[in-house]
Amino acid sequence: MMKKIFFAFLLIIVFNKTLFPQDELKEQFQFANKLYEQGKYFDAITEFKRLQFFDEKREYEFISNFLIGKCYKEGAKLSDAIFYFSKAEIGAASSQQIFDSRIEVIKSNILRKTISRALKMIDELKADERFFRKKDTLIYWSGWAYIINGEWDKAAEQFSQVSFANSLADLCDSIDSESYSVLFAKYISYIIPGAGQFYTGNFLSGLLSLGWNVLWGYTTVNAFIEERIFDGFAVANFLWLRFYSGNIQNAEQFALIKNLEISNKALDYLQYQFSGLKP
Amino acid sequence: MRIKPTVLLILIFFTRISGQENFLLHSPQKIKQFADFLFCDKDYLRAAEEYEKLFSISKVDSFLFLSSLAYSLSRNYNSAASGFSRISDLSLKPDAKFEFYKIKFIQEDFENFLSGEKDSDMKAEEQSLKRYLKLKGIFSLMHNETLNEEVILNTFQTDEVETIQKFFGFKKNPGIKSEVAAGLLSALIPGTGKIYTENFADGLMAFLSTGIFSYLSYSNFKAGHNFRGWLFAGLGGLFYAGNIYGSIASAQIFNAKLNIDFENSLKIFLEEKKYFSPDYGLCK
Repeated sequence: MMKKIFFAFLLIIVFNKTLFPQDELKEQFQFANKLYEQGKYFDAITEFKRLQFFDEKREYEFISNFLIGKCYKEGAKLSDAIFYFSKAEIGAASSQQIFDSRIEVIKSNILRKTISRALKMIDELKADERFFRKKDTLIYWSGWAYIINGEWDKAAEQFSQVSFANSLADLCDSIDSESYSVLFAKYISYIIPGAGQFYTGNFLSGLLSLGWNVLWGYTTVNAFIEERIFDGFAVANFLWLRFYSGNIQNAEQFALIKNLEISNKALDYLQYQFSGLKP
Repeated sequence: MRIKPTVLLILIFFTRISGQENFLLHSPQKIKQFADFLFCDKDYLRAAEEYEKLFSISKVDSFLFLSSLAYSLSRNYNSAASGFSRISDLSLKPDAKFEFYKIKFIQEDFENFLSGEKDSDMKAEEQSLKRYLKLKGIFSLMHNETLNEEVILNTFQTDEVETIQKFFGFKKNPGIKSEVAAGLLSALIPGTGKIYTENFADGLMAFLSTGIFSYLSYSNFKAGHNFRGWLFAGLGGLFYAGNIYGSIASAQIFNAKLNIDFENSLKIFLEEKKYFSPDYGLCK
């Protein structure tokens, strides 16, 4: 009797493990997925790769590539993530899977700041009839692409078209109105040296700029009045023009820095406090 | 033979919950297949971990060698060196020792690297010793040791000799610029020090700016604008002094660039040659 039980035991072990290779793959998938859910992304990638290696029928091709992409994305390895999301798209069995893969590629492009690529992909999806009903989602992610690109006005415009993104539209609007106009800062410095610095709140720098320009402007004009023509040209070229063009570049730079500070503050809020969908 | 259904169920349950280590996909044979795939796919860190698993199961040194090699290729040099130093299989030892000293060379742990000369395990195999001597030759080039060109060149293969000769050529005649000469030239004629250090545009600008400010100073004094005369004289003086200082700095930068270029060329050569590691024929 014991012998029979022993043989039955052996048979079960052998049959259980060899006759049902798909069960092995399923278990492997569950194991890998569990690691992914636990946030052990490096190990999860190893196990998904193992699944792919032994999955001869490629049953898990889409989901394993998709989740490997997600793991890489969590580890901020965005180029690797894009590679695996693209592989997932190749193995996709439905339009939904194609859409999901492409959205992840778009989100990864947004995060790695290859915005033009993200926007191009969004436009391609918008033009694809299969995804006609997904327009809101696409507009939403184009809004995020503009946010990361620092184009808050365009982001607000996109979010205002989507009913579930009103709070983001308001936020982008407020950031846009808070931002300094780089062109204005530059142009007023053309007219009055130092004015752009005053506009961006850098008063000392504005005063210095004005002072230098007055000094070298006066010296230049005075040299011409006294008919010391070479002196006039030399001072104008080597000193006045340098300070004048420096003042314009300086004003532009200050406006850009101020805008960056405002953008960073908003991005900080979006990263840590905003609870909606993020790339 | 009749077995009660409950016994069957218990057995099935037992085999299913027996933990993931018992998956067929995690059997030693499958781990080896998967590790080889990862290694040839250049996913070296994962390959290293898989070979390490095999070593912990079987205690076979070839797996430890492969694991260390994969660690080395993924630039985890400490794990790699630790693995190579533990290999005791005599057939693997010379290669393992060479790889160990190669890592010490890469890590710039030259004290340990140089101790390879006395290592009898590595000397036991001619090829490993030859590879080590090539690295030693490169070390001598890098550290300006007394160079016996002929002896060093003899250790290299024909296709490598030309490049090594170029490195020797640089060491013999590096073409460095004298900082003192650059400073003196600029003190005599502003800008010439920079031209001497092959910084032509800067040299010309230094000459022009010093000349123009000196002229402006002279012209303003002549017109009775003493304040402006002194102001331009000050600016001219600043440019003159700055140009001397800049010429000395330019010579230093020129020399540093020569050395950096030399070190980069050496590094590129070593990377191309994989620090003289053999292919081991793992991925065909």
